[in-house]
Amino acid sequence: MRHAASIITLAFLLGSIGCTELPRLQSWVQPYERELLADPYMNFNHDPITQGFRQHVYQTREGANVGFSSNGGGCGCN
Amino acid sequence: MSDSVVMEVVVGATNFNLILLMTCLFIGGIVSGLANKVGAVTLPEEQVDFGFNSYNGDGLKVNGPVLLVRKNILERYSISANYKEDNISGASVDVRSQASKYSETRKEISVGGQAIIDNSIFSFSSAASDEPDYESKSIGLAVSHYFLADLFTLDLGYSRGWDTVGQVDTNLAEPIDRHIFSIGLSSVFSKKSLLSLNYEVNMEEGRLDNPYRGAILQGANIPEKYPDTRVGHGLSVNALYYHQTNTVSRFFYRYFTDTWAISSNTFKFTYITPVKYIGPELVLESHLRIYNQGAASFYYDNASSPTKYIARDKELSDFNTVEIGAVGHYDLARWKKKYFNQVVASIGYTAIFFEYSNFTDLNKDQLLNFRADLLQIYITARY
Repeated sequence: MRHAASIITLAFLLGSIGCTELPRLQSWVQPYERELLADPYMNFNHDPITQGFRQHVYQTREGANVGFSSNGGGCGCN
Repeated sequence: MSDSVVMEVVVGATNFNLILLMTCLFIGGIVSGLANKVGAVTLPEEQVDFGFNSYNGDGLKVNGPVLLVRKNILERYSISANYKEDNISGASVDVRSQASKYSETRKEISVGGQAIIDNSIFSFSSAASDEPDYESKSIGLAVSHYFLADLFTLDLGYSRGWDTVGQVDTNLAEPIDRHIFSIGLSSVFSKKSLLSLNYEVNMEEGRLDNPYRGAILQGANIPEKYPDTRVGHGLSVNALYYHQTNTVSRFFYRYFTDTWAISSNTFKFTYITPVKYIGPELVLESHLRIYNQGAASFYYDNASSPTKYIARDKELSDFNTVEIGAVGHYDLARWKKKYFNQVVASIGYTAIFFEYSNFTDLNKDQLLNFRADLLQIYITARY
């Protein structure tokens, strides 16, 4: 259980460094070079209906219960 | 130290660290907001989705409608609402060996809101689901902060859940409290690729077993006994790569471990491409997913001696799954009237093959394996 506090402390340190140091760096992909990145399929959550349904199946059929970022859903464990 | 005390300590420690992280985020946001005025932060697309979901596997059938509506206001705010209904019939193998089949309906409603403030998106969500023997409520808060000319996004999230576990024809009503913390960092890796690293911790306390299910000790049925607490950690990485016009590859990996000694690995590869024979209006999204899991420390197919905790839930056993599926998205250009920018009809099928290493189907006296079929049909209208 100490892992939770340790990992979040590490995340805090990395976040601190990121917040203060990264703004000084130069951009390696300019805004006008991001046309392909703006494609609708270049989105980690582009299909919420399909993802939501599958995630509910995983939550009820697998032991791993994090990493879905969706809320609610009842047990469905029957 | 008892489990509940440990839980409080962990929750306290993570709350403290979360406050520090939030402080850093806001200070970082102000600093980077002053340093550069790039304001490319955008809200999700406005859309309406309506469709039908179906699951059929291991004697259990679940089907029902789903509706999602998302609307933006003043280009800075977004609101959404989601309704799902699951009509459930039958029972899976571990329940039907000790209880009878049944049918019931689960309804879930969720609402959410997002607001852009400088280079950040603040989100709020709330969900509630209800079925005859289980209730679930949750709220969630999240912030996504874009920095360094929007090359990076830092995501922080917290959600709180309250479930009530019941049992049909009894007065059973026992709670589960849930805290979920998440942190993620996404990056524009190149002109054609995006990367994302995420960590999530889920802390649960309460009635974590299923009141309908029992365990087996030396061949005899006995009640299951679970710990009252569980802390799970998930670390995942996501990558997206753009090959050519409308062709995208996505890779996902997640490692999971928890205080019940369950560990799992999930790999998923998705390939999205137009179907050349038809034209650019049909896009096929196919995927392969592999999941393997090690059992909980107190899982026994048939325990040989009494133990403090005991479970015979196949979701806590050693097993692996292989999943293949595809979704076809067809752009109905002719339906595009003055009210919509795009109307897309989608149909998807997924097959999941479950293979258990230490869960015996008592009806057949052999290790369980089965296939689950998932079907989805829905229409998306963007406006």
